[in-house]
Amino acid sequence: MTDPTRPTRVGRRLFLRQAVTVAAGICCAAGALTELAPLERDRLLAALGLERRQAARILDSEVARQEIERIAATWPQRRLELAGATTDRQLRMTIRRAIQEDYANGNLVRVDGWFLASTEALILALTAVAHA
Amino acid sequence: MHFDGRAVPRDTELTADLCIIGSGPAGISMALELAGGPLSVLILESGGFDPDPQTQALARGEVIGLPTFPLEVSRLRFFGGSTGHWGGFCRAFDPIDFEARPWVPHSGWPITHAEVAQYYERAHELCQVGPPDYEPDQWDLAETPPLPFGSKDVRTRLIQFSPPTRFGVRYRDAVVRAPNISLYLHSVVTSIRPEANGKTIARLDVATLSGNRFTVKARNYVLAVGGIENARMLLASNQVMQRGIGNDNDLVGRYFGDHINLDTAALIPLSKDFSFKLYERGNRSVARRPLRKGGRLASVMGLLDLDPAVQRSERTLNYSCEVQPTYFSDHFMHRERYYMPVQSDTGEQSSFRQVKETLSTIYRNLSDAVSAAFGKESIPDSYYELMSVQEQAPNPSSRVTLSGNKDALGMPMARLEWRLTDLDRHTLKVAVRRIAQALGAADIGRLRVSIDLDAAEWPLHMQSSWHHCGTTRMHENPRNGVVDANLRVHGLANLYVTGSSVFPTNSSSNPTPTVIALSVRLARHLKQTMS
Repeated sequence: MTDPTRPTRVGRRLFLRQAVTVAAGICCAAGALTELAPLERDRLLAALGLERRQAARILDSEVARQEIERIAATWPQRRLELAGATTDRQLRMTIRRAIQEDYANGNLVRVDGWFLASTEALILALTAVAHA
Repeated sequence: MHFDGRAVPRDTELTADLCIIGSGPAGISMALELAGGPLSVLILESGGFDPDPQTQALARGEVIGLPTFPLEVSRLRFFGGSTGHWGGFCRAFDPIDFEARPWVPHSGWPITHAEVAQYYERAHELCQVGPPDYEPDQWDLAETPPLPFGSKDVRTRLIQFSPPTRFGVRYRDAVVRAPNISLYLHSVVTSIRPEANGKTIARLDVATLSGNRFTVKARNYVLAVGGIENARMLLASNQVMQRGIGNDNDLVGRYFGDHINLDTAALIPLSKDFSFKLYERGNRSVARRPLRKGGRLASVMGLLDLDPAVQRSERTLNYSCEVQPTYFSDHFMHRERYYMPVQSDTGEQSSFRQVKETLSTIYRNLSDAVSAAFGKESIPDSYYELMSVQEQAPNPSSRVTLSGNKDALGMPMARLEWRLTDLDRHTLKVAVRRIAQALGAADIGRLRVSIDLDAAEWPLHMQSSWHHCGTTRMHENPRNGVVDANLRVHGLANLYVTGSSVFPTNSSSNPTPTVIALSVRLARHLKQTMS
């Protein structure tokens, strides 16, 4: 039986496309208006933990790595987990939990009309800017 | 029996125990309760059994303030009244709607939810729907499950659909054949005449568009002509009481309310595995016919609303929203679809604002347009649009007054000034955020707001809902309300008002079942006290 809570690939792609728009909006706001290369789309996807293979690329970005550290600092209980996330899967799961926690606690931000978890928005923005 | 007012001998005085002015859902519900009983009942209806443009023109009026529909569009003047264009939405008010909520000025009904709830069953019968159950767990929804929210902050509740029942068609025979009921068609009440002492109503002046005139004298009178017309009638009957009947405290016409109806946000699902069928209005007759547990098939639709605990903690009004599928082209064009010539919040025409909003819409959707034209990925096959339907905060500045213009029978037209408050705005902001949070927490989807939640003005595509209410509000204290808990006009022994105009607050539920419930309650009260 299909698990109704499991995101499908179509759903992920759908969200990704919208997420790119959000990230572009944040870049505009930061004065970093530029076209996003297809590569950045993959990175956004990875940052959101939606595609395991690309997750490691996030770590190529020093800025993104620092941002993840900063996010981790706001949730001490996550810090250790992030620091110890040695595999893509661990990192993805940790970020995913942080996002879920944001939603559960109402840590939302509004960007270009989107309501996003603050972790989600920060990763999207940082990733986009870092690779602009 | 039914008669044509145009054929009544001029200056005749008709008599009855009870005269009901109006034969919409309120008037007909009362008549059905009283049919076959000992009281002689006379119903006055301005139109006939079918609509006609001359009578409908009597509903014309002025609209100032926030945009709303022309008054002759949102109301119907013929036997059956507004059920002639009713969508059939049935849902009772919530218990919290009846409470005096400290954060909602002027809230609180003088009667409890339990008092009204005992009449909802009958109201549902009259609307040809089953018992008033609105909780999803009371239904077999295996094929159209509600969204799996993790918390109860945002919840799914159901609307039951009436066929919809056109009261004028469905109950015509029952009313006309009742031996104690006399229905007078094409008979327009032009004035309610009090005795000189101002304590009782002496008679009604009635006119027809053909030029005939007669009067009606009864022991008791019930005004049941709708949320705007009830107030207009009381205000225009100012021959003896200069401020109008029941208006010693300048309350008649104030607190006008409607449901704020707003295309608010796009919901982008994260997975196609989530079913939104329960919420889709268009499929209700096919996919939306679950079997009620232990009962018969019924047509229902899901809404999202805020749990009362959230309303209390966030100090909001009641709020619900529809979740309707839309497609790229719909999303792109929705401003145009809902466009109508309107006035701004300040009452001024604002073509600049219209242009600005249209450009803003195009800009917001530009990325979608580019993706659709050049993107490798296909455009989303569906979004879901969140259509907010929220309670309006009681506001004395939102009101019906008399216009300087007169209708074909010389009565002053109604002037409607619809106004909203900061609490209405606060409610929308909180509700959208809470829904976004609930959708995210359950991994159902993400929300993109399609309006500026922080703007000073309401979006131009905001609509009213034709749910006019509040203009003769119910309150035990005459300083705070026009009618008492039994719907009798304060200070007058034999004049009652029923319909949505007596609502002190208007919930986020559609008003028809509550209008009928209150009217049935009034009929039983009169049956008991007059017999």
